[in-house]
Amino acid sequence: MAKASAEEIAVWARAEAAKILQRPPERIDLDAKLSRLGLDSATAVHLMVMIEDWLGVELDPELAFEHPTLRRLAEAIAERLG
Amino acid sequence: MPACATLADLLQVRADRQGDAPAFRYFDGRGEMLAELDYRALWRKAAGVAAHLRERAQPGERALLVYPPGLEFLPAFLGCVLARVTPVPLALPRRLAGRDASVAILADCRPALALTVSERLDVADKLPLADPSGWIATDLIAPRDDFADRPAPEELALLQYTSGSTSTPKGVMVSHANLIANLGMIAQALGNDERSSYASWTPLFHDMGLILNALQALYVGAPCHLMAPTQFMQRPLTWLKLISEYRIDVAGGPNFGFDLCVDRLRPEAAEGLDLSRWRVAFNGAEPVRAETLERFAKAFAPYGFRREAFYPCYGMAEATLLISGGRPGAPVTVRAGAADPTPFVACGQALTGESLAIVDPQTRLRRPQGAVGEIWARGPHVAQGYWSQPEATATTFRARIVGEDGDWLRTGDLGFLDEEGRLYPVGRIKDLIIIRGVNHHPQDIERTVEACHPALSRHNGAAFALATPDGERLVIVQEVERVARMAADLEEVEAAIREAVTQAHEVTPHRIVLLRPGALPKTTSGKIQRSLARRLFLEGGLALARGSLA
Repeated sequence: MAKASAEEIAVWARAEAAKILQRPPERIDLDAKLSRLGLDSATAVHLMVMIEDWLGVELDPELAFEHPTLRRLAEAIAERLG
Repeated sequence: MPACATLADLLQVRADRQGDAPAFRYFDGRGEMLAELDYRALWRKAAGVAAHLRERAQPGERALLVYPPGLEFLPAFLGCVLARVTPVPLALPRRLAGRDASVAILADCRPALALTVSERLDVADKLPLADPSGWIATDLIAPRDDFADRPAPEELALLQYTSGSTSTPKGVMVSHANLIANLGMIAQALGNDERSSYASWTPLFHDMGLILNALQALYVGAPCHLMAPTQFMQRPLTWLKLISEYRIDVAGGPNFGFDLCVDRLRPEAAEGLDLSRWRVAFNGAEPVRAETLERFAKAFAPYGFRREAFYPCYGMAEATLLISGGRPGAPVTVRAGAADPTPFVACGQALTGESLAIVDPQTRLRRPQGAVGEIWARGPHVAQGYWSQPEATATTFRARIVGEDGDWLRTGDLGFLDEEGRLYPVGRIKDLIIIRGVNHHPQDIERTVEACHPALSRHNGAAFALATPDGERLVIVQEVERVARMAADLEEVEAAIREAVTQAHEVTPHRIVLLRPGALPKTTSGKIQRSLARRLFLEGGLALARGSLA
């Protein structure tokens, strides 16, 4: 299992979200709600899966609904990684 | 195949003949079995539900079915059938409470009852019945050995709300005779029998999940292995593992599901996968893409997947489900389009007992072989019409070809037939947007857009589908008021549209284009011209609210 800080996870997730949304990463606000970025539940699940693969951990897809911005999501994941 | 006139006969035959055999199994995202029902248990649970419903509703009344993924939907659905209460399957209302069709469906079909499981009785708040005591948790109902009443073949087996927009939903009235006819056509087309086995992730409230998967399995007496759509989205390889482990020969879904399997393939996770028994990999409910078939075949050939297993097919709720499908094991046929760079995939031929015609939608004359026109169908599987909508029923279900007798179903889709009678769907007359197998009406999306920001005015936007290398995508073009034409304001407007559409419709807009006032093409009577807007978008001919697109 990889160790990663909330900041690292947030930056990585932003790059991944940028790929999914086909927009430049700098236009993706870490503090905007996922739905405001245009991530619906299917694409949010996809993002969670990509983060799982990257970190080599299993994550509850509900996390994306409970922590609906990239920054808060990254913090929640970092907390779980300990 | 047993001679069954209704779904109730079918259930009884299966319980009598093979009561101990597994009918339905439900799996979690890792492929662990969570629940199983044999045919006898299915029958007994359905009989219990039927007896309970009969005390609460008259034959011919409607019952909503609002279930989370799992096996409880099936005995509830079949219990309705036995009690002659018409089942109306609905998706669970979404977590992000966007506007959906449920409320309008309630108003349209006025159900006496609504069924769910005890842990989801909270949905009663979102779907209020005239009599709130009509909400019933069917998982708590005791099974019974028998239920005496049976429906007649001409009675409704199902009211299927997959057509129509959010504000004006259309419930397709499917009789037992329609359903049995289409199940027979499907069994013959796919070559299914009691040795078949199914694995499905498509939801049971959707016509493909219900009819092509669950009820077809019941029809031929084949075990059906189910997993939740959200679990599939997260772990599509689990579906393939079920196919491997349970020696499944029939499994399919909308095109995007096959792409998802390829996207998520990890060799280390797929080790030991054996797809060599997969005989029919049906692909329908959204346009079938040749490129998807190609990449899936290539990715999964090392695991024994045979390209001939691909089974592109075409259908819609108005024809119960299936309209065309090929011969299992026959190679997929593809034709290059004249103007369109993406090739068209043949979706098989007319089914036994069905006729297909390609008709000019204006003149109502038959088009010659190879020429594109509207796809029309007729046969015993064409449904009875739309619930309480005689005019829409007459237009769609009772169309006539000039100079000929007999009623036809108008599909609203465009296609052509080749010299061997193979059908190639090529597009739509209706302004429908199909993403991940779900139909979206542009009017619904346009209404969400115009209401989401004060700089947007009513009736000045268009939503349409765009074919991209990744499948069909949503494009929104919308005029903005002059007051909001500063760059910062435009970004805010765009973000507001993205958020509103994503929340309300569960679709990510692919492109949002903001236009100058008056730039959206309309007819002289003020109707939005979506297809012209689409063409101008592609040609770059729309007057933008700012000089260039970011």
